[in-house]
Amino acid sequence: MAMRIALGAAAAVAYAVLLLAPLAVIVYSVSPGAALEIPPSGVSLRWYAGLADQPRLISGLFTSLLLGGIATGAALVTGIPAALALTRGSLPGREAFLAVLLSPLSLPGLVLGLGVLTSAAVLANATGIRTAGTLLPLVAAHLLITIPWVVRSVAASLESTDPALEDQARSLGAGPFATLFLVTLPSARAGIVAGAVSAFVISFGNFALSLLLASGRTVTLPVAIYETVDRYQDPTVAAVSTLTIAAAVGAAVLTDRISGPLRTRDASSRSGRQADPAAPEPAR
Amino acid sequence: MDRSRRRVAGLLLLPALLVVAVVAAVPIGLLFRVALYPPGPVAPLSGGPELDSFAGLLSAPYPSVALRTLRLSLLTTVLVTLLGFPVALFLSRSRGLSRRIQTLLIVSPLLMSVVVRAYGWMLILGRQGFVGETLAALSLPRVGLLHTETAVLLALTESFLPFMILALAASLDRIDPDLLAAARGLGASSARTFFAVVVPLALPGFVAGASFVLVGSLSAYAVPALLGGSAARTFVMEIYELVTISFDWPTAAAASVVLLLFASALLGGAALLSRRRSARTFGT
Repeated sequence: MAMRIALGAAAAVAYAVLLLAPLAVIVYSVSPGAALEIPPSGVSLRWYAGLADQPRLISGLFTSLLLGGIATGAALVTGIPAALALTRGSLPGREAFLAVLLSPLSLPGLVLGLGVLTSAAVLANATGIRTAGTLLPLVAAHLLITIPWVVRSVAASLESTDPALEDQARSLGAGPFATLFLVTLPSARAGIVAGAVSAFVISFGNFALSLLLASGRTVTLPVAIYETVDRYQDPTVAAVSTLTIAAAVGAAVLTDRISGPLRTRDASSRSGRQADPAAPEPAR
Repeated sequence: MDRSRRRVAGLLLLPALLVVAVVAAVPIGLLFRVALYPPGPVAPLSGGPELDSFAGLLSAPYPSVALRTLRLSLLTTVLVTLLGFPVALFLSRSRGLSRRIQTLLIVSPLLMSVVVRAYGWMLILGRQGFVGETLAALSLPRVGLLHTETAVLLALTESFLPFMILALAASLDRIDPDLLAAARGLGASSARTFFAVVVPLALPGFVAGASFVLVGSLSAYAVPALLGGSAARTFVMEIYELVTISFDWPTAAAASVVLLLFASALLGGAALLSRRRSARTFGT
């Protein structure tokens, strides 16, 4: 029992550390003045209203929403077929393909951004096609890092559904496309939605990859926030940051509801089923 | 049947693989090429190929910056392990609602932009921030931790803690409770069970988590730039300034190549290590 209390205390400390930074942003966003006051003299929503006067943040918000939308759509279009191929294709070297598709997640974002920027410059020199200042390099880069989330989530979903269902549909006379759209994809619905939500959120919050690629009208919200916090003490940034915090928590709740990364793990892990109080407590 | 199935699977995989080729492989290949041009702000790039830009990385400030970056990521890895292990243990023993709430606490920060979280730490640690103002309100001398290595370390630890918890918990969840009961039944004390059974079985999660945290904190940009600034310059910050301030693309590319090779070596080493371990455990 003492062990469990000690573990609980350690967990509480860690969770408090994780909560501190977002809480600081939220508290500052409702402060009445531009200077932080301890103890706070009141609560004000004026900085949220003041967002309207911050064209850079507003334009960043719209750029990030647009970019996230395009990247997510493209990641679904490329990622779902890839997940199908990996789970149903009986491909040799399946693990290697999966590793290649997931590899962008472990690349340093800023370095990758520099590479994409260099490629855009080389392309412009060779063909005269200028992509600098457009959304295209950002879309390409964000697509690269959102595909892994879709592939992982959809493949996990497909793996937990029974392919025998598809064989039955085929033997009952459904064509391959009817089977795909009426049986396979609907059964992976939870994974598709969870993958789309993660892809959007990852693109929306990405910073390191976007930093070198964003300029002028294509400055994303995280880049705009970065440029602002470094220079001014301004709770308006905290206000827009609070909106993104709320969106992140909303996305986390949503993914938990629809697919439950936890619930599936709970159900599949051996210990999940045995979680009744009468079960012997391990390692105490 | 099987052949055509494989051909279809290959076609389905193609778009996603093309994205990785065009947006990751080609840009990184170009970085390797750009690194071979003579260093300096020359445009258009010409001359070489030579290794002068790599040689330039051996002179100040790069070696000391590289050492600081390494030190920060090693310390981050140690701290997230020490903080994360008890949390992962606690999480893997929690069920139901408690487990879902804990997962939300762990996953939500991952969905927030790293810039927003770094901003939260700026608000906490600055002289005019939560810590400074609280000290002032208590008539104590103000202390500002912002723009120190400590601030960078703290924020890096917070930003990578969720990854380590999830990696360790994934391993701990797979431990068969019967194994622990068997160890106890055979007369092992709870401490012995912990160190002889739980810790070794958590090692794969530790290796996966630690390699991810090491590489991730080596590549971090937002946290060191916002919380350390000029007081704690890191390798990636140097790359950024080489591109945007000195326009020295060959040296920036050479530094990127060094970082990429180092990160790949770390990840490759970790993969080898976990394969050897699992081979030994399962006797294959």
